[in-house]
This record gives sequence, structure tokens and C-alpha cells, in this order.
Amino acid sequence: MTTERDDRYERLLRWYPRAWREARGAVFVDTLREQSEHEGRDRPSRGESAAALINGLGTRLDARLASRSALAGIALLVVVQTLAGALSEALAAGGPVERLPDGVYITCVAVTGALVLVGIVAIARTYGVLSPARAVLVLALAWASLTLGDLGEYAWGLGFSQADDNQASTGFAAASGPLLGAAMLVGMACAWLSLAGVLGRTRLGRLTRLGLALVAAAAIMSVAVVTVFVQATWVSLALTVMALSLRSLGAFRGPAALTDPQAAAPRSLVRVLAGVSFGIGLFGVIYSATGSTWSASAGDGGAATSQGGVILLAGSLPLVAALGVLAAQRGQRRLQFWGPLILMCLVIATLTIAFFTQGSLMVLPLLIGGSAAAGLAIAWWASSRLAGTRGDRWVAGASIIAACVASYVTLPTLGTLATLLLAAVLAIRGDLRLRRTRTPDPASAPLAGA
Amino acid sequence: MTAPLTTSAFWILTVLASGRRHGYDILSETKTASEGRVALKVATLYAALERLESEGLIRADGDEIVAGRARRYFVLTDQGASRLAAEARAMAQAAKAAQRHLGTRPAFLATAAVAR
Repeated sequence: MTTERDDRYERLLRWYPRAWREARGAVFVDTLREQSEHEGRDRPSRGESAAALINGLGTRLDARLASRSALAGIALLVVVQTLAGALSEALAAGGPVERLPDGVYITCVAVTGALVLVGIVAIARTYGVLSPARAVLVLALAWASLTLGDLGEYAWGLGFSQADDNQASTGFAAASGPLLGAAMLVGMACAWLSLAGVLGRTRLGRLTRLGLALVAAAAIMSVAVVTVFVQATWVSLALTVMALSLRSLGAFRGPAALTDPQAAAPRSLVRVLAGVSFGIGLFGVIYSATGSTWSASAGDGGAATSQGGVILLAGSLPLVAALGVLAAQRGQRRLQFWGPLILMCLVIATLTIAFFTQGSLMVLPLLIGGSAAAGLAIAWWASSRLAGTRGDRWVAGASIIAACVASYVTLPTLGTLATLLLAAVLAIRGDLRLRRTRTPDPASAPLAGA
Repeated sequence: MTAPLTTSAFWILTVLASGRRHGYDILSETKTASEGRVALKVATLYAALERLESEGLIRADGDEIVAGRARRYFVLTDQGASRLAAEARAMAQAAKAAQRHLGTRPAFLATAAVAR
């Protein structure tokens, strides 16, 4: 009898993650028992069971789950996108249908969104923005809103097809309006619940908090309603979740220690190279925007954008050279530094060729290959700076590569340039820190002639 | 200006101000001290304790086995004590302002209320 009664308490622990159970499980269960005893019960009350369920599930929403769900979301997009691309080419060549059904794409984006939402809520809980119980409620509402929105979008697509055939919307197709409206309302409730938790920790008045939460919830939903069906939104959010979760897991160690303090690079040369890079890059941006109006070689806006992209990429080469100068001056010999740098040169070359060959069949493989190489370069560079278990580092590396490949259509050029810029800033910051530490401290200097 | 404490956090810090206490002790004492207004569930209590611990307002002060039961004790940190003191001051000021305004309440309003 006692064992059966004890099992009822122990069973409540299953909602919590293993690490929590190991650290607090025994104390938690014995507190439950003590309370039951004082209240004359031989089992946990319904309220206690419900509280354990919701808090336990909320506690599972941590940084580790955030990074894994964001990675799973990106991986799903990569797989479906690649399959869809391959299938489309095969089907276009005389298959039974011309393209994948809309439902497949909508479901894929919806599942990705659901996974990324887990990551967002888990990060908010990890950083203390949401309590465990509130996090579970927020996630449930967010999922409900997303599901209603995706059903609404699918119904709207069906209605659109019916309208094309001069038919009135009937059945499920006619429900798009109510579904989208319900999605909006549930989404607003979700945003309000999240914001109320944050604003509740301020000293604002109750009415002010309510008003602010409602206005912000409406603003968030008006942005969400146009971005939630786009895969780039989820990729960007997944990357943000990934970065925040890795930060929370203490994955970033900071710049590696410099071994030779005498080997500081000449700042003037680095500055000149960085300046040249900036100048060429700026010209590339201006050319992209205005080249079609004044350049004879840019026939239209599209050609100007491509040629401007090539100039922009070419402009990053002096930045690579600056990084090389800094590293050489410091006696950097590690493959973990030179490998990624050489890989980035390869990425620049690949993307440049992709811009030159626009319109040909080569563009897609070049863009995907270049993006994968960029991801590999970043992951390689980061691998020496990441703490945590080998498994965590593999997850981080794989997610960086997957994210770069997932965003190959929109981000290769920007991603390459941003990575180089970040590397340059880190390198120069290390250089400045080096200079400060080399400044002799008069207080600790040995007495002359002593 | 620091963020206000939640009701449960306020009462947990209040009961810990008088000394180290374990889980069930905190539960029963918060209920008594708040005159029944705060009745925490065990799971909610541990979530709140975890949060307060991560904010540095309380800390665990050892585990003990008493009558075959595992107990973890918690104590208020210096940071927690000053935060609680600041909260109590803010509440006292608010209560004082309310009393002051009630003291200047026009007599005819009080009479009208009695008549109703």
C-alpha cells in the first residue's frame, strides 16, 4: 500500500527533465509527501498533479531543447527544399504533375514554425522572461495560432483556385476568413500572455501594462500575419534561437589567447586594407542600386544587381588579406585559422562565378556549394572556440552549416561579408587588447638602477 | 529602480527573512504569514525557489534527512534581504499615501456610503 502511494508521488517526477530529477527529485517528492500527510491525504491532490505537469513540462523547455528544435526546424526545411527542387525538375520534364502540392509546402513551413516556436519559448524561459508554467501556456497558444493560420492559408488557396474556375468558395475553402481571424485572436492572446509576464516585472500601473501589452500584441500579430508563412522568417528566428541558446549554454569562450605579445600587426596596413575593402564594397552597393542608369555594361536593374554583387564580393578580398596579415604577424600557424580563411576565399570565388553565370543551370549548385562551404568555414573557425561536450559542438557545427545551406537563396553574399566583417572585428579587437596589455604599468615597473 | 517582486516571491523572501527553512516549512509559513492569501503548490514553490536562487536572492543551505525524508534548506542572501527591504519600503510608502488620501476624504461621501 505504501509502495503504491509512494509511486503516485514518484510518478509526478516524470514530467521533469532528468537533470532536474537528479538534483531536486528526492526533496520535491518528500515535500509533497509531507504536505499530504499534514492535510490528511494519501495521494497528491489534483491541483498538485496539474502544477507538477505544467511546471515539469515548462522546465523541459531549456537552452538545450531550444538549440535542438531550431536545428531540427532548419534541417527539415533543407531536406524538403532539396527534395522539392529535385522533384520539380523531374516533374517539369514530363511527370504527372508540374509541382509539389501546396499542402506539402505549407505543412513543411508549419512544422518548421512549430519547432522554431519551441526554441523561442524555451529561450524565453531560459533567460527568465517566462516562468515554466507560463511558457507552457504560451507555447500551446502559439501552436494553436500557427495551426489555425496554416489551415486558413490552405483554405484561402483552395478558395483562390475555385475563384479562378469561376466557382464560389464552398466547404473548407469558405472557412479561410474565420480560420485566419481565429488565428489572429489566439495569436494576440499568446503575445499578450508573453508580454504581460514581462511587463508584470516592471513598476508600471496595471492599466498601463494592459494597454501596452495589447498594443504590442496587435503590432506583433500584424507583422506575424505577413511573415509567418515565409520560410526565411523561420530560418532567421532559428538562427537567433541557436545563437542565444549556445550563449546560454556557455558555448562561447571568447577570442583565443594570444601567445606572442610582441607579434602585433602593423595597424596602418590593416587599416589601409580595411579601408580599400570598405571603399570597393560601398561602390558595389551603389552600383547595384544605380548602375542600370549610368553603366553601359548594366543593361537593366537585374544585371546591375549581379555586377554590384560581384564588386561587393571582390571588395571583401582586401579584408581577407588584412586578416592574413594580422595572423602572419602574430605567428599564427594553426590550421583552424588558415583553413577557414582559405575556405572563405573559395566561397568568394564560387559566389562570384555564380553571379557571372546567372541564368544558367550552374547557378543553383554553385550557390548551394558556396553556402555549404561558408557554413563549413564558420563551423571550423568556431570549433576551436566552443566549449561544452563534443556532442554539443557537433550540433552547433551541423546547425551552422545547415543554416547557411537553408538560406542559400537570400543570404550567401550577405552571410559571407558579415562573417568576414565579424572575423575582422574580432581580430582587430584582439589586436587592441594586446596593445593595452603591453602598455607598461608605472606602478609595477622595477625601479631604475635598483 | 528594481522590478517589483511577484506576490509569491515576496512572501517566500519574507518567511526566509527570519531564518533558514526547508520546502514544506516555507509552504506552510507563507500561507500563515499571508493569512491564507498565498497557497503555493509544491511544484510552483520549487519553480519560484529556482528562480529566486538564479537571481541571487536566496541560496540553498544544505540538505538533511529528517525522519527518513530529504529536506533542502534555503536562506536569504544579503542581496535578497536588501531587495525585500526595498519592496517593503515601497509598499509602506504606497500604504501611507493611501491612508493620507483616505484621511482627507470628504465627509459627505462617507455619509452617502453609509446611507446606501
